[in-house]
Amino acid sequence: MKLLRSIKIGLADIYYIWRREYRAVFQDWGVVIFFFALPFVYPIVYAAIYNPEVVREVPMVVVDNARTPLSRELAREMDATPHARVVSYCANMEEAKRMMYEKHCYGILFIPSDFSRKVERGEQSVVSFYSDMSILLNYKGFLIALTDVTMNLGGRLQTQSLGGASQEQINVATQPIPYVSVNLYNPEAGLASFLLPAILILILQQSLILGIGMLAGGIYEHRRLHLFYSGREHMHNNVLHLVVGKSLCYFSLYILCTAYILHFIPWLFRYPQIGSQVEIYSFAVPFLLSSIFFGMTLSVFVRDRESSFLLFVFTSVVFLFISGITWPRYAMPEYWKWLGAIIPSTWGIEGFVRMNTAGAGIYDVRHAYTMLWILTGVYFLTTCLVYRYQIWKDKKRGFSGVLDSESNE
Amino acid sequence: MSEQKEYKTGLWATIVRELRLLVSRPIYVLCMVGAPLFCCLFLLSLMHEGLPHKIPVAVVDHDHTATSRTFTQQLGSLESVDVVYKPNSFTDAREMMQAGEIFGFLIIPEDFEAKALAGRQPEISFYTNDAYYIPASLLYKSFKTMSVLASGAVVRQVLLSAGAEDSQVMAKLQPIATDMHALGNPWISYSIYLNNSFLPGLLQLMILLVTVFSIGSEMKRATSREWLRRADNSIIIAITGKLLPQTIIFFSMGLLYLSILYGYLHFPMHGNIWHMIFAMFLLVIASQSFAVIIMSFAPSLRIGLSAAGLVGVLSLSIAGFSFPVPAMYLPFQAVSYVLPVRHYFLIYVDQALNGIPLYYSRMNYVALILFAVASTPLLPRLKKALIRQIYVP
Repeated sequence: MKLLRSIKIGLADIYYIWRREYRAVFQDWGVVIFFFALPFVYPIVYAAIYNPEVVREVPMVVVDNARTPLSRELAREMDATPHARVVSYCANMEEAKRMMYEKHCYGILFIPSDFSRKVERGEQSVVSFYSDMSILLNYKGFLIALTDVTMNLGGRLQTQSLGGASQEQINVATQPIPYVSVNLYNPEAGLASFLLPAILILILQQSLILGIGMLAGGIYEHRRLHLFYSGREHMHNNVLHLVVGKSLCYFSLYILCTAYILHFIPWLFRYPQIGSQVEIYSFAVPFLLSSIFFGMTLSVFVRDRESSFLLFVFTSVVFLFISGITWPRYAMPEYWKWLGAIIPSTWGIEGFVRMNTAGAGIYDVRHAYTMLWILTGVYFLTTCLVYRYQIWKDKKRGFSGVLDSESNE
Repeated sequence: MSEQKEYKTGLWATIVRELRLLVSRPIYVLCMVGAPLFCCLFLLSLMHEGLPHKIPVAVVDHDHTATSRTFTQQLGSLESVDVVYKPNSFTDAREMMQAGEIFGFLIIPEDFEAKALAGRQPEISFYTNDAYYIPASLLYKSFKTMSVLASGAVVRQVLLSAGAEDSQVMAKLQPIATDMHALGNPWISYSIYLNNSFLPGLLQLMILLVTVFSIGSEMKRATSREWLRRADNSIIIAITGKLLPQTIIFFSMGLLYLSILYGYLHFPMHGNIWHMIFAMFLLVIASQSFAVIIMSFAPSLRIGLSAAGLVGVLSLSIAGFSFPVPAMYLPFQAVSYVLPVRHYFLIYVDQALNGIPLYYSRMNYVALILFAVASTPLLPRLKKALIRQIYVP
C-alpha cells in the first residue's frame, strides 16, 4: 500500500514538472523558435540549397591545335556530355588560361597538333585536360566525361581499323569484358540525397541542445532553480522526477518535429526513402531520448540564455564530420572514433541513412540502435548527476525561497 | 565601477575596459581561441590521410577460377580498395552493404574465365553505396579502372598472339589516351580541398557570434550607456575600442590557420602568402562589420545571435565550398555574394591554389573592404539602441 502511494505521488510529481516545463517552453520565445521554427525552416532551406543535386554543363574551353575532323569530333563529344559545356575555342593556351582566370571556364581541353597524325599512324595519341580544383565536383564531372568520350572514340577508331569485321567481333576486340555500374540507394549520385539525411538528424539534435541550453541558461541567470526543489522536500528522489518530467515534455514536443523532419521532408523533396517508416520511428525513440539527455547534461555549461548559441552552434559542423557521412568512420583516427561514439547524432545519422536511404531494417542497424539506448542510459545518469550537483550548489548559495528574478551581478 | 575609473575615457580606456570583459568571462576565451583551435586540430587530424584509403568492399565470385581469383587479388592491391568479404550471393553482399560493413561490391559472373577466353563477353557488374558520397566515388573509379584493365589484358593477349608488336598494343588498346591535370591539387586530397574553405568558414561563424554577443551583452547587462560614456559618447570610439582587441585575437587565430595550412602542412600556396594574410585580415574585419550590421538592424541579443548563427552556418553551404555556386538556384547565387567568406574563398582559389595574378581577385578584395566599411553609416542607429538599453529576452 505504502509503495503504491509513493508511486502515485511520484507520478503526480512528474506530471507536475512535465506541465510546468510546457509553460516554461511556451513562455520563452527563444525556445519556441529553437524547438519549432528552426526544425521547420532549416530542412527546407538546406534542401533548397542542394536541390539541384548534380552539377551539369560546367563550362570548359578547347585549344585545338590539330584542327582536324577527328579533333573537332572530340571537342563536340565533350560538349555533348551532360557534365561539360564548351563555351569557347581558344587560339592558344594563353587565351585559355585567361578565360580560366576570369572564371569563364573551369577546364581546358588541349588537343596537340599531332593528334590525328598519331592516330592515323597507329600510335597512341594523347590529349591533355587541365581542371580547376576549387570544386571537386567540377573535376569529377570533367574526368568522367573525358574518360567516356575518349574511350568511345577510341573504340570507334579500333572498329574502323578492323574493316569488314562483324559487330560481334568488334565488341570482342574493343571490350572483351564489358561492365555495368550501379549506384545503389542514390541513383543519380546527388549531393542532396547524400547530405540531407545527415543534416536532418543533426537539426533534430542541435535544436534540442540549443533549446534546452537556453532554458537552463534562463534558469541559471534568473536564479530560479530553487523553484524546482523548494516546497517539494517530501520527494526524496526529486531529481529523478525532475529529469523524467522535463524529458517527457521535450520528447512529447518533438514527436511532431520528428515526423515532419524524418518522414515528411524526405517525401516532399523526393529523397531516397525506401525504409520502413514504422521501424524508422522506433529507431528515432532512443535517438530523441539520448539527444534530450545529452542536451540536458550539456546545459550545465550554459550560464546565461544566449551563451547556448556560442557554445553549441559551431559543434554542428564538428558533429557532422565526426558522424562519418563525409569522411567514413573506419578511416578516422581512433580518438575521433571514440569521441564520435558518444555523440547521439553519430549513431542517429548512421542508422537513419541506412534505414531511410538504403532500406535497411532495424535489425541491420542493431549496433547503432543499441548504442543509442546505451547513450540514453549514460546521459540519463549524467543528467541526474549534474542536476543533483546544481541543486546542491544552489542550496549552498542559499537562494532557496528567495525570488530575485533580476540578476545582481 | 569605482568613481576614479569613471573619469578615464577615450579609446584606450575603452580598449582596457573591453580587455577586462574578455578575460572576466571564460566563454570569450573558449569561443575566440578554444573553438577555432579545436576545429582546426579536429578537421586536420580527421583528414590527415588526404583520401580515405582501403575502403572495405566485397567480391562475389561466381566463377571460382584462377582468373577470377587473380582479378580479385588485383582489385585488392589497389590503394583505395580492401576486399574484406567474399560472400556467396548478391543478397549476402547487399545485406552487408545495408549493415554498413562494406561500401561497395563487385560481381564476377559464372564462367567468367571460359567466356573471356572464348570471346563471349562475360559482364562484370559493380555496385557502390552512394549514400556515402566520397567512398562511393572513389570506389566507382577503382572498380571501373579494374574492369577496363581486365578488358585490356584480354585484348593484349589476343593482339600479341596475332603477331602484333608490343609497341603497337597500347595504341590498339587505347588509341586516345588522356592526361588529366588536377591543377593545384594533383593528389585530389580532400584535406586540402575541404580545410581551406571550412576553417575560414568556421572562423567567420565564431567572429559573427562573438561580436554580436559582446555588443548585445552590453544591452542585456544594461552597461551600454556606461560603455558609451567611456568612449566619450562617440559610437566610433566605442565600437573601435570594443572590436579592436577582438580583431587582434581573431586575426592571430587566422594567422595561425594560415601558418598551419601553408607552412606546417605545405598545402598548395602558389602565390604570395601576403595576399592571403591580407585576405584573412579583411575576412576578420568584414565579418566583424557584418555582425555590427546585424546588431544595428536587430539590436537584440537573441535575434542578433539567431541571425549570426543562421548566416554563419548557412555560409558553409551557400558559399559554394562543396556544391558550386553556379549550379545553385539564382536567389542562393545572389545571397552567396553577400557572405564575406565567399569572397575569401574565391581569393584563396586564385591566390593560393592557382596562384594567378592579383588583378583577377581585385573585386573580391574590394567586396571585403566594402563589407568592412558598410557598417559605419548604420552606427548612429546602433548608438540609439545602445542608449535605449532595452533587453528583449
